[in-house]
Amino acid sequence: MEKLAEIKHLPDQFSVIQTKGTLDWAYPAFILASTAAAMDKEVELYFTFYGLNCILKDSSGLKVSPLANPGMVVKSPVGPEWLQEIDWNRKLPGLVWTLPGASMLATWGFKKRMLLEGQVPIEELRDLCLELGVKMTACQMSVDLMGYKPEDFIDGISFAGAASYFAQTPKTQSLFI
Amino acid sequence: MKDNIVYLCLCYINSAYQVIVEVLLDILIDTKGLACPMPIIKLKKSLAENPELDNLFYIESTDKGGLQDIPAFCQQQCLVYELLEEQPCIIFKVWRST
Repeated sequence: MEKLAEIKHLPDQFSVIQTKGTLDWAYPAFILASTAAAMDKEVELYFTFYGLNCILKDSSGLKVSPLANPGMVVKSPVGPEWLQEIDWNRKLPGLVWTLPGASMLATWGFKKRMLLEGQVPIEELRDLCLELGVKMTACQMSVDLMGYKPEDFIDGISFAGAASYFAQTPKTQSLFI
Repeated sequence: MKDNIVYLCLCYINSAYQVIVEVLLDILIDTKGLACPMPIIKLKKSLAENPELDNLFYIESTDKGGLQDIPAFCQQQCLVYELLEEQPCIIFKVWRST
């Protein structure tokens, strides 16, 4: 009972640990974070390992590949309707995605599809998150490990270790993406 | 006679003022063509930029999820809402409860 009362008095918080550095993993984290922030929740995003890719100034490293990604739907955003309906990830053998340029083509198609569906570019979305007060923290250990410099990252983020992340984030909720 | 004219003028100015105030208090948020979470974020931003208690927000959206999302957001933020139109695009009227 006491614990329940304690939970009720905590401010509404939401936190995500982002470990993946591809475009299709970056979008959900920023979409959920911006929505939660708009609903007055205290939002904390913690970027570790490849997740650091999501907060680099140069976002060209954020790509998407159907290789070893069987869940991905690969549909052409251009062309006649019958062509757009084909899910190439189901039709073609996985070997095709190892060909040079496959990832570039998939990334181009993914970005185009996202814009067609009314999403905003990832850079704009993360700026919106910062504007809405989402706190972003880069894992200091991962920054050193990957050999990044502090100036490689977008403005408005902080650097800290895992202990400081757990010290300031909710005891009750932590979603791992 | 002169007083009457002055009175009429004042009435006219007053009603014109009222119309202007009403127009200024109505805020149209166009989120047509934008998907989740943009309609909610634009509504939130507009709420922050227009803190007047009498503001009326008209939000237009083509996002299908908005039909559930906008009411959910309003309930959570203690706002009053009314669905004005569903086709061809969703229009919600949103205002602050007093």
